[in-house]
Amino acid sequence: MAKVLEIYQFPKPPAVQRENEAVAYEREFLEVPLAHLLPAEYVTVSDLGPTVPDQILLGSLRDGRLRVKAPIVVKCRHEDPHVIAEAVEFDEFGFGKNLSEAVSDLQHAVTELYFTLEHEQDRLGPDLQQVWTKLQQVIFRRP
Amino acid sequence: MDKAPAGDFSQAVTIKAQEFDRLVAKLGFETRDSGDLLAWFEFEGKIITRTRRSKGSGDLPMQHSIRQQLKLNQEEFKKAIDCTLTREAYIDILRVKGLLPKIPTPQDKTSS
Repeated sequence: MAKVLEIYQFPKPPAVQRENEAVAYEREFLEVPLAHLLPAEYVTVSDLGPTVPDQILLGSLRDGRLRVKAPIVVKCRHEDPHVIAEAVEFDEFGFGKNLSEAVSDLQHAVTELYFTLEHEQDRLGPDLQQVWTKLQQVIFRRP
Repeated sequence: MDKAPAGDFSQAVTIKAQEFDRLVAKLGFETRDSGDLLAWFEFEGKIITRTRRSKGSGDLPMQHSIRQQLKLNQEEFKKAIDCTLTREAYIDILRVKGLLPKIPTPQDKTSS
């Protein structure tokens, strides 16, 4: 005797109705005034500007030839219209329109500095000799 | 930060690209173009200070960092930008700050 399996499939809700509900909900949400939820001083400011952390730790120079052994401390700040990223221990800095650009510029600068000092290490003055020593402590050149 | 009014250099945070180029040329820096403009000061075969600026003609931020790279105080840096600081004066400044060997005096020669 053949078994008869009864399969129950619940009808799907009509798609058109669901989309209308979502649109209607969104419209209602957008009409809700939010200004009273914000501090008064923020409501009048049209551009708060990018927020940058005071300090970040840089773990990569984005150059395959070099590896960062110990994180590089980078001080960041916003000096309108630039964002500045500064590696104080090397007296090197980068800047850009946002933090990402500033850090990228700094990475390029530190990489350039490393290879320049490496190439000229036999004829560095006392200050740059110290910078070269510090660079070697935190950056490793891949073989 | 806004730029300081004219004449109040102590609070300026930017340096113009042209001022940077004039400064390094006046002080006799060697330069190299590597995407950025690298500049370094050589004395008797040794590289003593170095700095760089990004390509482009706009204002460069971080004038105080450039000043620190050149080992100058604000007054000295202003003279350098105004092209009133000579290479010889810059060498004397670096000597006083211990970045260059001092010129031996006759007393040093007789005592040794």
